[in-house]
Amino acid sequence: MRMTRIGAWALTGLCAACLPERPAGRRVEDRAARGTPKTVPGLLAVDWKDGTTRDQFNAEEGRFGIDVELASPWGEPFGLTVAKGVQITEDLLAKLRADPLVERAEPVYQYDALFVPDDPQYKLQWHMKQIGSETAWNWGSGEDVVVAVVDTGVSRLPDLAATKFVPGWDFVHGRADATDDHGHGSHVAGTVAQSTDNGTGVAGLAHRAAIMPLKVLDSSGAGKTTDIADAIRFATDHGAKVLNLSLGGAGYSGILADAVKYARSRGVFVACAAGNGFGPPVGYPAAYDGAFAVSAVRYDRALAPYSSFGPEVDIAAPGGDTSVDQNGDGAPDGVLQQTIGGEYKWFQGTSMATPHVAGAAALLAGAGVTRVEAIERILRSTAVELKDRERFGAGEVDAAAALKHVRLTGSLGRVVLAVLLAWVAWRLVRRREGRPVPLGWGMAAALLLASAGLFVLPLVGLGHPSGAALLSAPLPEWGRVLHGSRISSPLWLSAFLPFLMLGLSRARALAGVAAGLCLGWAAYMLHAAGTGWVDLAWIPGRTVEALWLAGNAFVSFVLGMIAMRPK
Amino acid sequence: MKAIGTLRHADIEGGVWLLVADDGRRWQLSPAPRGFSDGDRVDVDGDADAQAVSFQMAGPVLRVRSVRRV
Repeated sequence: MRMTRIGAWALTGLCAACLPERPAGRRVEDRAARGTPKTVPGLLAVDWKDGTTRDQFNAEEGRFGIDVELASPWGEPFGLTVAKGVQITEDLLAKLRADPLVERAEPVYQYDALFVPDDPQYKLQWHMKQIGSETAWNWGSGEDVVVAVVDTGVSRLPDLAATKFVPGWDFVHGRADATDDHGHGSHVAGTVAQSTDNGTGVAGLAHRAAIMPLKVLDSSGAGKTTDIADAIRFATDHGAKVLNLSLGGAGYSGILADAVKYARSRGVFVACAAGNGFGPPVGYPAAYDGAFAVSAVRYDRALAPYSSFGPEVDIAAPGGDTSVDQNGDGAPDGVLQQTIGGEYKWFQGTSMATPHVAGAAALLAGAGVTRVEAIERILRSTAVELKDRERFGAGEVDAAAALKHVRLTGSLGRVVLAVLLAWVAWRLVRRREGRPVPLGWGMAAALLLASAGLFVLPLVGLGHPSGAALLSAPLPEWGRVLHGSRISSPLWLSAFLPFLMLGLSRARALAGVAAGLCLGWAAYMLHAAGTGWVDLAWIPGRTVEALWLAGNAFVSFVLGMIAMRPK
Repeated sequence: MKAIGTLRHADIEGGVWLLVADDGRRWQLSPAPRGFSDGDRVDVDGDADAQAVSFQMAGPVLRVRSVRRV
């Protein structure tokens, strides 16, 4: 038992050692640079010395002309109170702080999110906040997911300097260099993955994704269906998980329809702009089977006047309306990104809405949802419903809700499943073979790491540092995370690694850890079989994959029981 | 084909020129006409290009041969 505890501490220590650190000087600098935090108007916090009774502070409050009450029912032992409707002055604060019963007195500050990037113009990107960017970033940022931007090309702008790129192609000029000669493609790429938290300019939604620049439109914005079809196939065959097609036309092209079908059938998410036709119909390629059609909304979530719509619309996203300033930030309500020439420009259009959805899809893929049908389903089910399906599809994309659904609800489900499996295994072993190995901390830690990972890291604000992506991912996903692959490996999602871990159980002290790993792995695979979130390489079809996962989950469960046997 | 109507400049996707024809149809003009302003009454000669693809996506594309004021 003692050894099991030591094992658990060692594991925790190892995890802590692996935690990536922000540079030490950074936090101090943050405190100074960010200046006065946002306060809640009229709300004053008074922390009385511990043990101060309600009667005591009620007697004191009159001296300051305020009416304090406990901040929460749990605050009584600590004497933490708040007063509403107070005109907070330095004078009042000084008087309160001079009172021997008062420990602290300060305005109540508003903390909005766990991660707010330091890009100075991020505050003007209402379109990011509208889809829950800050909460989403705490849960993931599209780590290594390849997003192909099929457009006018993408230039390596200063605010894309820290963004990853993979090789693309210029189909207009027939060369490897897909530099943007218009600005549209770079703006779109910025919404997907503009370098973020780099102290410069603006932010991108899936800023740890990799951009594959594919140039199919010339400097006037026009392109050929053959080039676009080739680009779609190129992206599919070169590792792209998400395609962003902020382009379209009115005419049906069988070649282009086939290319979209090709990508989608190979597990690629194809985000397409519905078009800017000021009404129906939805243009092509958005209207093809397999495309995920995106209409555009404004700050007030009304359909943007230029947006095309129709029954093919799957989802809506902020495309902006530069003719209004509904949020009162003194700037037009367009989508703000950097474009060629280094300028930051407010553009509007369904082209601008589409990369918000492509980015959200990349966030999901980065969080372990590798099956395209599951990505589409989650984006739809977590969207903010806007009633009119022809205009908005399932509603406005909500990156925060989508990611929380996967990382929080999914992880909790797997942990419950893992505990359940451990309990059943323990009972079965006890009935058949006598006293199993004890259910120690080592087993609990192993169950958690294998079934869900340290998914609590984002909840305590540690979700953003880059290594957190690995630590907060369950062990069976490490293969995909480490290799940056767009699909999951059937080797990692099998009973193979649990079988190797069974070796650990030969050491008596590690038997619980081995059992926990096997059972956690089983829980992960069972959950994956049920939800259909993972797309396994080399194994065709959802049914066969589910059978593979369920079968291997069963084998891992039996391995877990073997590890638990009395020593 | 020939079409008579009103020129419109829409600030979408960085700017696009449209012809709102008198028969109610709307065309996206390519290339963009030069030396005209929003609201000009014009007579456009060009070819409808059903297969055209662009990021402006503002309607069927009319490949413009000539534009003149009416």
